[in-house]
This record gives sequence, C-alpha cells and structure tokens, in this order.
Amino acid sequence: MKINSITTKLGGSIMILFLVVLFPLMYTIDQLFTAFYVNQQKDQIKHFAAEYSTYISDVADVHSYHMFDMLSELMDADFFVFNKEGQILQSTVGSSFEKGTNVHDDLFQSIRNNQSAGMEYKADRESFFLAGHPIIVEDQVNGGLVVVSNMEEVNRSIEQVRFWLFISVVGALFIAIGFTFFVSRKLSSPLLQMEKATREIAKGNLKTNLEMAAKDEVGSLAAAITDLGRELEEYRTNRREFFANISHELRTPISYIKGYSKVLRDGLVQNEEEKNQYLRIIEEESARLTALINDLFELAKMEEGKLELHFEWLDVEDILNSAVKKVSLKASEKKIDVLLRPSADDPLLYTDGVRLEQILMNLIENAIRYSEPESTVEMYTKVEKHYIHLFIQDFGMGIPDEDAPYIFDRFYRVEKSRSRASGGTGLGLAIVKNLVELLGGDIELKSTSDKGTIFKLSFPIDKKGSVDG
Amino acid sequence: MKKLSNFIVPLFFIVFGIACLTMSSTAFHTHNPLHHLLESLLGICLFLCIPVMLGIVYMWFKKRKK
Ligand SMILES: Nc1ncnc2c1ncn2[C@@H]1O[C@H](COP(=O)(O)OP(=O)(O)OP(=O)(O)O)[C@@H](O)[C@H]1O
Ligand SMILES: [Mg+2]
Repeated sequence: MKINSITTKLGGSIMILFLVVLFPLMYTIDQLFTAFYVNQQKDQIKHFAAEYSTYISDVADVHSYHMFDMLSELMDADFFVFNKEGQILQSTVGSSFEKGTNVHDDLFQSIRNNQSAGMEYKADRESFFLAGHPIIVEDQVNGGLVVVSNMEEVNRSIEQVRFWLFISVVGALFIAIGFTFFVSRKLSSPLLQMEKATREIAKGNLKTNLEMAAKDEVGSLAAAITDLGRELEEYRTNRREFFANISHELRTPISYIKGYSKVLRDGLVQNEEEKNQYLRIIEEESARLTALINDLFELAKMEEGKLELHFEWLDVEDILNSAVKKVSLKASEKKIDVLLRPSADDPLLYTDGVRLEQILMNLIENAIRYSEPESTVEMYTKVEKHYIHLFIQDFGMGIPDEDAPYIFDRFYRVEKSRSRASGGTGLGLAIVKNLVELLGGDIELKSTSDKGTIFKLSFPIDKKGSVDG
Repeated sequence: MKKLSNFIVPLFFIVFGIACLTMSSTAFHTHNPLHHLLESLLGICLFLCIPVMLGIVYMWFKKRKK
C-alpha cells in the first residue's frame, strides 16, 4: 500500500477522527467507573461505622468489643475504638493503629465535634480508607469507632475493568479499521479511475469513457473528463483532415501549372490558340493558389485572434451598396440581377466596415456562383428589437439538408467537382462564420434543394440603441 | 487475487474487533459464560448492523430515485 495515495490519506483521516473521539471517551468511562467503585466502597464503610458505633454503650468496657473481632473477620475490614482523649483502646488493625497509641489528629478533631469523618491512608504501598463515627453515651461524645478498609480489593477490580475496557477499545478500533478500508476505497475509487482515464487521454487514448453513477461533483468531473477526451478527439481528426485537405488543395493547382508549363516548354503546342489557352489555365491556377493562400492566412489569423478590427458607426445600407457594386461584374457575367430591396428603417451599426463587406461579398459571390444564369439574388434588412438582420437570398441549387451542418467547415463543399469547376475552395463560409463571430453576430441558413438558399446575418444593435428614423 | 485480499483483510479486522468486544462484554459474567457470549455477540452484531443498514438504505434510496 502506498503511503502517498488518496486512499491511505482518506483512511488515515477517518482513523484519526475516530481516535479523537475514542480516547477521550475511554478516559471518561474509566473515570466514571473508578469514582463509582471507590465511592460505593467508602459509603459502605461509613455506613458500617455509623451502625456499629451505636452498639457501644461504654467505651471503657473493653470486653464488649469481642463482637468486633468476629465482624472484622466476616466483613474483611478492621476496627479500632478510642476514648475521648484519643487513645486507642482496642484495635484489630495491625501495626499502624496499635492499642495504646493516639489516634490521628484529623480524625480525632472531627469526631470530638460529634461529626463522622473519612480519611484516606497509605501504608506499605497499600491504601486504606478510614471511616470514623463518634460513640455517643448519654448525649455526650465518649470516643469514636473507626472502620479501616483496605482499598486494594477495589483497586484490583478497577484494574480489571480498565483492562477489559482497553480490550473493547482495541476491538472498536479494529472494527473501525475494517470499515475504513471499505469506505476509503469506495470514496477514492472514482478519483483513481479518473486519474487513470486522464493519463490515458494524455497518452493519446482519447476514446476514454468514464461511467460514473454519482450525480455529485465527482460525477460531473468525470463527465467533464469524458467531454474533454471527445473534444480533443474531434480536434485531432479535424486537424488531420485539415492537413489532408490543404495539401490536396495546394497540389491540384500546382500540378496543373507544372503540367501545362512543361507542355509549353517542350513545345508540344500545335498553334497559338492552344498556347494561349494553356497560358490562361496557368494564370487562373496561380490566381487560385494565391487566393487559397490568402484565405488560409486570413483564417489562421482569425483563429489565433490576431485579426485587427476597426469598429465605427456605419450605415448598413452603404455597406450593402458597396458590396453589390463590387460583385456587379461577376453578376453581369452570369446575367444575374442583384437586387437590394430598400428597407423602412435605415439602421446604424457599430461594426468593422471592411470585414462586414467581406462577409457580404463572400455570401453574394456564393449566391451568384451557385445559381443558374439569368436568375436573381435578393438582399434585404430587417430591424427587430435589439437586432438587425441581413438576408441574402438566391434561387439557385440550394444546399441539401444533410450538408447544411457542415457548410461552415473549412474545405467543405457540397459537390466537390462542380464547386471546383466554378473555382471554389470551400474556405469562404469558414471565413464568413469566423468573421461574423468576431463582429459579435450570428449566421443562420435556410435552404431547400433546387429552390434556393437564404443566409441570415444577425447583429446586436442594443449597445447604444441606435436605430435611425 | 488482489481483489480477494482487499476484501479479506478488512473483514478479518472487523471479525477480530467483534471478537474483542464480545470477550470484554462477557468478562464479568462468570455465571453461564457461554450463554452470555452468544448473547453479547448477537447484541454487538445488531448494534453494528444499525449504521451499516442506514448506509445500505440510503444507497438503495438513491438508486431508486434515479
Ligand atoms: N448560396 C448557395 N447556394 C448553394 N450552395 C451553396 C451556397 N453557398 C455555399 N454553398 C455550398 O457551400 C459550399 C461551401 O461554400 P464556401 O463559400 O465555403 O466555399 P466555395 O464557395 O466553394 O469556395 P470559396 O468561397 O472559398 O471560393 C460550396 O461549395 C457550395 O457547395
Ligand atoms: Mg464561397
């Protein structure tokens, strides 16, 4: 058993607690017994002294004392009688109170004053108790009777009781140790289990499942550890996928560039037109590569929180207009109308204009890219209590329900081949999501396959309650 | 194996403790000691069972509430 383990510490604490209670209890019980026995004995002796002193009618009549010899044998106690001068007249006691000697002064004084007296006396390592009572003859104190009892017998009984008391304390201690074993192990086992699980997680075994029945703090800690493992697991697969995606995305344009430049260098082109076509592909692919790297850089900055934002009060309508202007070329290439529906109120928003425009442009570009030619893209705003909502609606191919939850993941594209054909990398919405969150907003989407998509952006405006008009 | 010893050792302690208590509670019964031995053994076990029972009832209650 390890000394420095939680089980040992817990068990030790329980035991110490137990001893703290047990030792004073033992002492108290011992005192109780001792006092009880000694008192009982003393009372008995005093009672005898009082009783027998009444039988004596004349202190000087030494012959009447023979009955005390007999009583002394029967009761296992000794007697002596003294006269009113304190001289012992008759004694069954051995050495200490011999006939003819004077009685102890303390005893003598109180008896002379017609009071009974008790006294402890030690001789030859044995302790005695003396109980004296005055002898009254014709209403006069005529002397005293003293009963001497050896307390050793009582002390021996007390010793015996003390011994068995000690044995029972030891027994109680053992029972406590036994139960402490169970209890401390039961209490510490979830902790030990969790320690093991966390070690497993640290080692990379992330699929640890801690089944904990308890609904207390320990149980919730176990749940937290399980969640932590899951989170890490998710993070790891995410990272693995990210690297796989990134290398794939980088490799494709590079292989195009490499292939076509090789063709050009080897002079395998038949005519000028073909050459121009290849050059155009190379240019497109390098532009794509640049865009990809820029996007990645942007995302990395955002995720590390290193993106600088410049907040100011801006008119949402203005930003929408400038975004529409910027995408108008792409829209006209596909003959798509981008309509900005005017709204009743003209809200101001405390935000970063550049970033908000970037968000809008990404969404409008998507709307254009994933719609059939000659359709429309609509935009409108709505102010609702403490929020402003921006809607970007298209009537294109839509996003299937099963893809919707992943649409904001990096590199996620609904139909890889078609998206690639239209030049997408799958980073656009990831950037949008990050930016929206940085600006303190929220993004939702509603989409039906083949009917179209609506992206809804919500930003809080309650900060200074600034709704113009 | 380890599991068994984990169970046996504390059990031994408890049994030993009960034996100690039984012995000391019979110590002064010189008359018909066997009878008193059994009687006090039963008594000690009963008193021991009360808190253990309370614990078991508490656990059972908790399980049922779930
Ligand atoms: N308005 C939309 N209608 C239909 N599908 C959409 C729409 N917007 C996004 N999608 C789908 O979501 C995917 C992810 O979009 P995202 O903008 O992240 O990437 P992308 O447009 O492919 O590339 P990028 O924007 O980085 O150039 C797209 O590939 C497309 O399949
Ligand atoms: Mg896009």
